[in-house]
Amino acid sequence: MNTFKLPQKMMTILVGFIGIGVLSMAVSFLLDVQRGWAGLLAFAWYLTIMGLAGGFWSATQYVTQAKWSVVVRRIPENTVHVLLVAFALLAVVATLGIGNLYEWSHADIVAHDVILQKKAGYLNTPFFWVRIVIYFAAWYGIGMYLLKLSKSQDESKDPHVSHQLLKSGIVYLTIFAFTFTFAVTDFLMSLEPHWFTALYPMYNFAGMATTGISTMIILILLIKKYGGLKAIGPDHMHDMGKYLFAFNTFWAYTVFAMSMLTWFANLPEETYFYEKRFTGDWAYFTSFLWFGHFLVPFFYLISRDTKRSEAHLMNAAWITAFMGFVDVIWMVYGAFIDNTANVAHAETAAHAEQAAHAAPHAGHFIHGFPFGFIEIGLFLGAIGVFGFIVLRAFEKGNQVPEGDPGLQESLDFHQPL
Amino acid sequence: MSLDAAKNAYTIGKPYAEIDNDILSPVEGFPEKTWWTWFIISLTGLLVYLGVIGYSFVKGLGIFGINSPVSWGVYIIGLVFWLEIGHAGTMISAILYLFRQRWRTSINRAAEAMTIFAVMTAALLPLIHLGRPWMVNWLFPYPNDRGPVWNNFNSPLLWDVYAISTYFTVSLFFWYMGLLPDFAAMRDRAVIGRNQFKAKTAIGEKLLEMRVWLLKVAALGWVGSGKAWHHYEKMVMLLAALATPLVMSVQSILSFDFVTSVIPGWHSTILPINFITGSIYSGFAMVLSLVIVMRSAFNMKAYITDRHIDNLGWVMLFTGMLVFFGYFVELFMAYYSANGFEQYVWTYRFVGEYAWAFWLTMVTILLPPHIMWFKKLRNNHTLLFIMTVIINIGMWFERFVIVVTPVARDFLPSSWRLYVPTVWDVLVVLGEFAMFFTFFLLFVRVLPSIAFTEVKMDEAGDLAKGKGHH
Repeated sequence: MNTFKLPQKMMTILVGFIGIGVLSMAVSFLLDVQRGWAGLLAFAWYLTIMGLAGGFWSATQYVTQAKWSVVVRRIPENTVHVLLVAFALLAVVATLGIGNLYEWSHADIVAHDVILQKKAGYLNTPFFWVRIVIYFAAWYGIGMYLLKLSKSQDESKDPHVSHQLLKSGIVYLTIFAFTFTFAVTDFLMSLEPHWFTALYPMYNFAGMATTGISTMIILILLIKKYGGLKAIGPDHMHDMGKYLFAFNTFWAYTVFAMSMLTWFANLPEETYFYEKRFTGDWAYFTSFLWFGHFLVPFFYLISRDTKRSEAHLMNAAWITAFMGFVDVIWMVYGAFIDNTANVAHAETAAHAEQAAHAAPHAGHFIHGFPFGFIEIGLFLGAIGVFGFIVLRAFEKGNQVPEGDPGLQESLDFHQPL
Repeated sequence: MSLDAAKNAYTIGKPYAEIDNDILSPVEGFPEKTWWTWFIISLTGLLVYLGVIGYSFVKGLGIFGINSPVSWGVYIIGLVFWLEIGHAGTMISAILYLFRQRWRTSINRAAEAMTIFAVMTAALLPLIHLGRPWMVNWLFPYPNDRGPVWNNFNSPLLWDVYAISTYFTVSLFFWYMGLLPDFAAMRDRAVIGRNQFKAKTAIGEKLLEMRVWLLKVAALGWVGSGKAWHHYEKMVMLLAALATPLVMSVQSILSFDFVTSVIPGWHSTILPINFITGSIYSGFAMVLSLVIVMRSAFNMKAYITDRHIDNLGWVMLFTGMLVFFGYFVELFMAYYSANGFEQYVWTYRFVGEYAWAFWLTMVTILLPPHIMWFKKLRNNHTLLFIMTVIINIGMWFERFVIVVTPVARDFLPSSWRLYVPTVWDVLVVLGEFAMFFTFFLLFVRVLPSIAFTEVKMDEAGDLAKGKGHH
């Protein structure tokens, strides 16, 4: 077995991150219960997308039978372990926090709301719980199956396992496409239950992939820094950098398509989603998200030298991982913006009605600037949980899939000029 | 397939001179009967098409079936359909280049030619639909004396003009640059041939002379020096990197024609993505149809191998599933929206007057690619050819459903009207195909339909790595 162990010092730092996360969560709940629940949802969802991205990414590698990525594969494969923690936290959100976060869970509100009545067939508490269990059972179950299958090849060196991985990868990706769409609708879109746009799941998919690749890069470079994963060279990291660049650009594409089309059509039942997010402090926050998530990494990563340098790639990955969390906060906290002023100043009755729809139920507002020390603490906590769990799992097995028939090709991989 | 069996499936294993002869034989030889038959049919169709266009200019757009709510009809259907066909060429030449997929080498030339001709076919359609095509210059913003009449930059239709013309320019440039080394090789062959062979008549001599001269001009003095190659490869890389976002943007802007409106069924923000997946899907179907015919007609099976056909088929299966997924998301969001208007669009598609077109689309685009799951079926190229033709018919009707159904039943019931194509509409659709195939048939006889310099370079690379058959 060719294993690797990160120095205890690094593990302590990661545990420290987790501590910061727990502390921030506690402070958040003490200061403002609404912000606490919203923060917990954002935290758990961020863990979910990091855990999912690894499985998604390795499944694409099995299905395309990519050879260059064989040596990179073990970290992404191991991210699936994070889904258990994410599930536990989301279960708390969906039971204890559901009243604070999801307007449609209140029978008395639904009784007076025609739109929510029509949606009750989908948006109701029992079905919501059933769906959550199905999602995580599928993601964790198939993800663990793929990981076990891939690991079994280390000993057996059986090339047919690669073919099995290909087949199971197709199943995983197909199920993933549907479950992820529903999960985004459930956890995020239904925070503002009157609002909908068809591109929203795709936008979240782009965000998930960007965040996921960033966190994979962070862990891989961390291991490399302490002498592990020697098989991964600048040529492999260059390709990881390209993945990050491509998905980040795709994220910007979905943001542009969604926002521009909503703005252009100017339908009151859609525009309030953005109107809220451009009111007061939120205008700065939204601009920060769009510039920081797209433009900064775009220009940073466009150069070949950045992608081939470990230090620069690490910087870029931290930026995109952090902005990925900002994105989740933007989606979750945005549902609880105090827009009473917008209702009062609406130009037409239709606008007033829509602005009222946009207001969170029973005054569940989040006041103040949506991003502060608490959220930075939550981000560090999420990275701590993710890093700790994935690295612990990684330490138990081989660093690279030693039985994969493509291993030699992957070791020999060089970027063409 | 075993995991390593097909690793060197693209190595040809022939001497370079033979590769030249194989690929240039359709260009240097005289066309046979089959080609003439198809060419005359297509050319006749094209002439009829031009006649119909001319007649519509004289008589007016009233001869077509378009009416007040459904004002776009076959023109925008055709525009979307042909642009989508065209995009597969750029996918193969640019995106597969960036992904270092070397199997693109044998098919990229034909695919890019297809792009050019498809975009030409597409661009003509809105021009006819203008009604007064002689005022087409009004689309361009330049200082003029028309007073307050100025371009409406808020209109996505105007964005289309710029998107398509940019796309056409870049595609043409990319294609021509790829042809440069091939032109030079053809020129050198033609010069040597001039010294060896004489034509029987004086006119023949003149024509041969002219051919040499034209090839000399087309090759732009390419000598194949190391420095020239160095610059050339840098440029291909840059063009590929520019063409990739371009193809996404053109397809997205095309979808903006619909999504920027407030019409339920059109205003669905996932349409840009659906247009992109749809374009890869229908475009690859067209490439596959053309390539299957081409390789058997011109004996190119050594260059366009079964493995190429297989790869194209897998792309079809993947994008076919994406198209299904796109439809699913749209349908789910209509359900989730709890918006009666959104849901009505789908009810109308399921059971309304155009339900036949909708269900025809669903059956013809969603089912056929799944034959790829079965080894026996996917290795049957006749079946694959039939599949691609069915898919493209389906994609045409898909555009029909998207363009027609939301407006045929818009918000105002008193203005509801059906779109019933007249015989002229049908002639326009047939004419589009005639125009496309006329150009494509000319292309396979005038230019090398496989980028043989690139093929030889890959072959040299294989030999250097010791991977060849020898």
